[in-house]
Amino acid sequence: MKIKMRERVLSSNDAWARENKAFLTERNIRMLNLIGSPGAGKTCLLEKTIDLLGERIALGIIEGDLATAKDADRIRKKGVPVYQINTGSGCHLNARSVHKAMRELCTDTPINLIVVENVGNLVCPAEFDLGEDAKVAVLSVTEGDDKVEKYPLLFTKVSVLLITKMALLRHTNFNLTTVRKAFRKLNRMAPLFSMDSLSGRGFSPWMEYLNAAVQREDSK
Amino acid sequence: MHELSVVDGILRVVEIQKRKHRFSRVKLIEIICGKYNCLSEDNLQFCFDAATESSSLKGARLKIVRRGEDYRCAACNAEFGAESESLPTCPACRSTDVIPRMDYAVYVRSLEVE
Ligand SMILES: Nc1nc2c(ncn2[C@@H]2O[C@H](COP(=O)(O)OP(=O)(O)O)[C@@H](O)[C@H]2O)c(=O)[nH]1
Ligand SMILES: [Mg+2]
Ligand SMILES: [Zn+2]
Repeated sequence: MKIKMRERVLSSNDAWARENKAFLTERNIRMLNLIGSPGAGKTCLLEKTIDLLGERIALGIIEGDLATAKDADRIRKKGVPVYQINTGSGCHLNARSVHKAMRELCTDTPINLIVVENVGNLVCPAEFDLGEDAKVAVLSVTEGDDKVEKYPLLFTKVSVLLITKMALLRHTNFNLTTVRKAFRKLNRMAPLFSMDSLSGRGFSPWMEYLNAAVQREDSK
Repeated sequence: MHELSVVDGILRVVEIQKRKHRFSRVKLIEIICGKYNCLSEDNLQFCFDAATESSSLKGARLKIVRRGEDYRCAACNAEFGAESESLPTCPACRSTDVIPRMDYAVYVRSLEVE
């Protein structure tokens, strides 16, 4: 006998993602899901972002790694509320563990923006919605300019693409135009910002993007 | 290993269907997903086999069907499906301003049972 149906496979993650979305909407909080390879510079990007934050943004960060609280420690040193999730063997964060994290994060501090640093991985995190407002891809110039074409799922889904480690550009054969073209084939709308997190060069458009994201929420 | 999360989801779906239809064995599970979903049949089967080693689902085969993407043309509003790797042009008006529908969800499409 053949039983025909159309049942969603990740319905439990999707249900938690909807729960998260409702939680955030109720509290006027925006959430971004930061995705990139291990070592792409996600934590460095967050550290520099914290340095440049205006007073409009009250930031909270959720860190996802297989093991250790090293990234959370780096963020905490900057004085920003942070919650570390260790996934053990999990290659991605799921909406349920993020729910617990965001509840913890929001208990004693007023927050209007949560950034989730997902587990370093260009593949799996793209498949699991966390209830975020937008996905942000982080790609460093040392990873090669073919990664957008090689890992299309993530790049079709993101709302922003950040190219990091621009200070190292001249030591590589990374071609920004190649990346831009490949990205546009997959994604018509999302802006691409190139920047360097150690010097802070190129950060203005990104900071403007964050301010606009939070403001949009305020005016609701 | 996101295959484990997917296998877990598949097992939930099968469990619910089993309560409804009372079958004893599953021969084939057909999964449908978008062209960009990062699922490989081999990896999924491997994880599925490991997860069902000592259950009544042992030996069931998984098959992944990839659907083409659906698009809407921003210029003329035509809706169409396409298999191409990059954004296609609208078959009605040739505009390149097309918007993918982006249904990335993974579904179970059918179960062959006895
Ligand atoms: N020159 C330069 N180095 C960077 C930049 N971002 C990250 N790095 C280096 O890359 C390494 C990994 O960065 P990290 O933020 O920990 O990567 P993550 O795994 O994506 O969080 C760090 O040791 C940094 O020194 C950047 O924008 N410019
Ligand atoms: Mg990190
Ligand atoms: Zn058209």
